[in-house]
Amino acid sequence: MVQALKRLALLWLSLAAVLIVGPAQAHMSSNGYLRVELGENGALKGRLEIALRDLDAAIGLNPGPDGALTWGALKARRAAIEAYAFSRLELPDCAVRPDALLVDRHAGAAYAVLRFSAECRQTPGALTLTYNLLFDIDPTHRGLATVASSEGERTEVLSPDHRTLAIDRQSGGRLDDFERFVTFGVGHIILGYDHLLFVALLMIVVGFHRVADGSWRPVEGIGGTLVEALKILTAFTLAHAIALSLATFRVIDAPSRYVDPAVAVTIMLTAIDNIRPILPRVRWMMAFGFGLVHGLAFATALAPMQLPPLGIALALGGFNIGVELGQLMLALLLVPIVLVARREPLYPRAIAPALSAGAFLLASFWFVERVRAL
Amino acid sequence: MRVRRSEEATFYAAIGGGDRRASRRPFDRRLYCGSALALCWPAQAQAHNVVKTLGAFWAGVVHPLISPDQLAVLLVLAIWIVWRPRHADAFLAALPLGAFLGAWSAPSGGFFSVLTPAALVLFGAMAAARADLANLWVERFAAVLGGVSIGIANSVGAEDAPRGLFAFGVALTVASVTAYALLAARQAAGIPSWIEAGARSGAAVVATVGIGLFAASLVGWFRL
Repeated sequence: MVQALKRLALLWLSLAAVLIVGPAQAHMSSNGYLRVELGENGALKGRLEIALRDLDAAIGLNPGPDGALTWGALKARRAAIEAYAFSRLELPDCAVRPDALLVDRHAGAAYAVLRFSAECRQTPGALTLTYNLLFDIDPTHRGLATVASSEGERTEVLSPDHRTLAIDRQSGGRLDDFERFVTFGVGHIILGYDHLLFVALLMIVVGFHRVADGSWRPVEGIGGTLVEALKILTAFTLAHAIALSLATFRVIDAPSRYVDPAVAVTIMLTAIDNIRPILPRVRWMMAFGFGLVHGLAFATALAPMQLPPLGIALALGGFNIGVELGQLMLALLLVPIVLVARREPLYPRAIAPALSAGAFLLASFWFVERVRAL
Repeated sequence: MRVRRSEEATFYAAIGGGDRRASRRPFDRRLYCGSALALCWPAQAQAHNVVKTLGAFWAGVVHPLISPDQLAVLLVLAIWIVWRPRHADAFLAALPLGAFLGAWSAPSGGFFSVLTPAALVLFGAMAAARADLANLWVERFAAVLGGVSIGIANSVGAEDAPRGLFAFGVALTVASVTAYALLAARQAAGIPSWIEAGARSGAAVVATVGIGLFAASLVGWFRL
């Protein structure tokens, strides 16, 4: 009877894995960057950055047969790009004039940069901008907006639930800005399925320690497991905070086309290590080492915002706390399950390896997909 | 309906907590009123926002926790599991399996519209009675059925999202709630009798509410 139940458990795990591998895509975060600078007498200048990948999904950019997009092809679509962008960036009572179309790169990803200026009938203090870009095709898209004036700067994170931006001279409260970036960090991690899968792989064996023959033995008590989970999560957060800070201050510039496959490799290695030991036994050190790679994958999130030093410090702090909170959400789901299941001999022998094998397959799929996109 | 003080005192005496009239301060009442209002919040509308902004997996994780009826099914299942701590693996595997299958297959209409109220009545009564189904396979089957009812009730939240990921999220939440209940069950030896009485009374209330919902959904099903 017990054997039948064990088969049932494994059957459902396999079923879930097969069904999920198909549709699961490691979500590539989609962010647009908007900077509005207020001038005098209702004049303002703006800079809108949209990833070419997102623009291609929205209006089609007609890349060549090899998938490469040339500057000529982009210029040929300039009218369509501007029509799309400025029809979804609503500034009532303002005459918006596109000034230039440029291309910029952030962590290896190409962005269309639309410079514009506007003359507004009202004073800018009463203006409201509505940001509707891409939400219809990707509800997880976020617009990171900065309003700058002689009084200071204010940042906002625009989402389907919060599309409007007051264009005024009020500089933002530091606490408000910090809170927005905490929320942004939570959103960033919970939609990054590859990062979550890595954390999940570390968590499914968190209630165990490795013995000499390489097998897993349950850790006694709940406290030890919780401390170990916290150590792993904090090491991971610390590592990607370091990598993200270096990338945001442009000390390092790791192209995302190389970082993304590397992230998939970290998942594959961790999955193998869950089954057969190939990495250092101290798991928080492993989380730290691989966390550096995962941090580079976050690099596109904040670097393009062009914030002043204090703003960057707040944004980085808030973002990293948000990432930690997002990871804790996953840990709060997984750790109690591990705490209960670890008493079943089948868990370390069959279920955890089966889950790790499923994660390995999924990460291999992502790796191939990302290498092909190079 | 206002409870007479003598009845209130009898109730507290019955559950072993003594006369708590002294502790019924205005703050408590505000807390109860706030909790009741929170249950009336438009959970369905929130669920749709969740699906749109969190993606399929997290929508599945969150959906069972923001709809009061599904939360109530989870709650009474958890209370029942607390009394059945042996064979933890049965619940930890069977409930999420049922939830996954229910959310993934997503049948709708007719009979399935009465499933959640039926689950409220059945599992509410089982938790209130500390029901021992004697046979482990019957318990497992009941747990799978409970999971299926939760999964089906949640399936509406998937909308156009990838159903496998959504169902996996629902199953993970169900597994996690089950695990929390089983962890609590391990501490059950030290639980005072008044907490047990409170939990069983709560389950009875859920079952009673379930009877009303069941009747209403039967009316809808047969178009009476």
